[in-house]
Amino acid sequence: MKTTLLLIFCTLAVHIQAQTCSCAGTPLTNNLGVGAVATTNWHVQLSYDHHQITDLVSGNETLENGFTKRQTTSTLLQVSRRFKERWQATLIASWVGQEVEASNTLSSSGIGDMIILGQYQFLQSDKTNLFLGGGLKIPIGATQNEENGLLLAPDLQPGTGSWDALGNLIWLQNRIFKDFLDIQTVLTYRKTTATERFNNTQSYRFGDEFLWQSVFSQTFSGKVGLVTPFILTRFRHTRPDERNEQTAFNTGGTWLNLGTGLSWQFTPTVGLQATGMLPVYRHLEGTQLTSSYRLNFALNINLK
Amino acid sequence: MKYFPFHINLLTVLSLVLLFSGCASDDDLGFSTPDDPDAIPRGRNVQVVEDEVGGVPIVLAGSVGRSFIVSFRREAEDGSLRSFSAVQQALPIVMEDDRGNRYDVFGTALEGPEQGTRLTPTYGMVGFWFAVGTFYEGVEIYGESSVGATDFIPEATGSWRIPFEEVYLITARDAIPAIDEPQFVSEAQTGNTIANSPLQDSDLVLGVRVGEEIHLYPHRILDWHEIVNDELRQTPFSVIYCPLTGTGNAWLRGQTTFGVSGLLYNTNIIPFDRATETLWSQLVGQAVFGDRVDEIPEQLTVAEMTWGAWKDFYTAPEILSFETGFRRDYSEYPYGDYRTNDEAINFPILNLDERLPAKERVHFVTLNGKTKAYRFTAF
Repeated sequence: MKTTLLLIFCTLAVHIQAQTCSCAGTPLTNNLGVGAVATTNWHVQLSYDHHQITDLVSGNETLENGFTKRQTTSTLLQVSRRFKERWQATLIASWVGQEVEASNTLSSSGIGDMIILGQYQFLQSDKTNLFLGGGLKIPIGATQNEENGLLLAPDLQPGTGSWDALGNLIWLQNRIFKDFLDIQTVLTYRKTTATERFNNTQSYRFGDEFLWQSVFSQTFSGKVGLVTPFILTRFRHTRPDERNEQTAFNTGGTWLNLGTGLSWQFTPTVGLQATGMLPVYRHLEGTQLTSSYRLNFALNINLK
Repeated sequence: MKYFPFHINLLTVLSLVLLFSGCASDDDLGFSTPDDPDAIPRGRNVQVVEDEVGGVPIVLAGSVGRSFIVSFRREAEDGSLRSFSAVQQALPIVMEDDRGNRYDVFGTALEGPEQGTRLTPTYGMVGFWFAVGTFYEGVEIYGESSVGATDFIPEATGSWRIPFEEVYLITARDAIPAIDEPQFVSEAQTGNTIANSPLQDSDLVLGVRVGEEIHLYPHRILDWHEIVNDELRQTPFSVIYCPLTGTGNAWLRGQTTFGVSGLLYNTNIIPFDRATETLWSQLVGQAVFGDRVDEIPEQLTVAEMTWGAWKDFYTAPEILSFETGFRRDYSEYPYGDYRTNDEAINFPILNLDERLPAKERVHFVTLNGKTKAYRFTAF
């Protein structure tokens, strides 16, 4: 039971989301709640993420936006491998689709950036587990997609073109109240670097990012397997981007999202998960298109 | 060769900001009596300059305190070459020719033997200096001997009339919504919606005149929408404003309307007409791709000055209402410190001319392939 429960937390912990930058929609792996925690030798997750970016917000005021719709759809493949009981390596690859629609539609899709992550479990017990991790976002994603021969803007490209460093801390606390309520918290910090845009005529650096995500869940065991409903809270803060080392206005901000979902582990090997998330608070620098809602569907496979 | 600027001349920028805001004399909006012209607040005098661009004699009238410069050809309708002098304390009249005709900022003779006639405009515009230096080769600056770079504009590509590789696709069409059904208000109306609006006396406002009617368009609204499809005296036209280059003009549109295409050339707006989806370049001044390629739009005379100055010139002028039908915070400028930060040029340009600060507003005139820029400090 303990192994299975920890397995579910592993599933919930792995949640990679697309970035919503100032112009909304640059590739997937820049907005991370990553915390790959596998208890079997191999853990594979295939997920589909749909991010609707339609709200026009100035500061914390929502403006009317009847003209522009954006969405980012991503397919993620995450593979985690456990080593020597306390060590783990994770690789995350993505395929990203971007679309913006006003009186016409611009779309772009392709390979997104990749993440490699190493983690060490430095506290291991029945009730409390702590992991410390670090890694890199590798800019293998496409950055030169075109529409009718015209180079698309950077926020419509699947890749970012920039290397980022990641660090995270995962805290799993089981059975807070006797046998009830588990809490998983992931803290992630991303340090960004600059990339070249517009045919190497502009230097652009996304703002550094801090992410705090907590998942509150309770697992129920039955004939259909293990069912775990959960509530998710997500706090995110990004510094403004920089364009040619100047602050890029209308970038950066603070978001608080609330989500809910269900995880269903119908065998020890295979499980499904669905998550939905809505913004409950945001304070943005300037005026930005930002997240309206987000949906994620995942298939989890655990292998010895 | 394309440039992004890395130099700041902060003292120059701050000085010019003070000049543009008319801070030299903003405590005194009154005028001197005819017997005491020296009491006119500094900077609010109208100055007239006669010059030549591309071999064409022109006249410019301007006031640094009121933030306007307008320019016209000196050759009148009858072919005669006129001489001009400034007129003070007779707004909206700003200058007079040597035949006694007195003109407003739109070049219309309001008084004199040829009352009602109009000077031929040069269709010069006001904009950021960097835009002039990247769109036009060999630019001269009035009062200086230097000449700008040449041979930096690549050849046009394929069926485009501008180099295709310098066109950037930023967003979808109409993602920045134009105003297609503009409403206008004046302070004479009850309820005084202008007083309740974000409009300040120091705000820059574009003006278009057709016949006896004038419509005004605040930068506060143009910064968010860039294009206004309007009509005056059954003459349909579009006001085109690019916040990135600071340039505004107006051209006839016929039965179509213009929208924001989401494309930029040399960081300048490329509007499209909705009837044929032809793409037009504001600063190249023609259609650059599509069914109507090579067509040159017929322009209207545009004047730009502060809202406070417009109120000095005209009684209860009609200005674009902030009730645009879109929910925007027009009290906020959407681009941060872009207007004053010389290093903030957000998209690629072909040439950076560093003779003046990048964001200094200048009036520029292009005639017969020659371009000259006029600094507000000359007025």
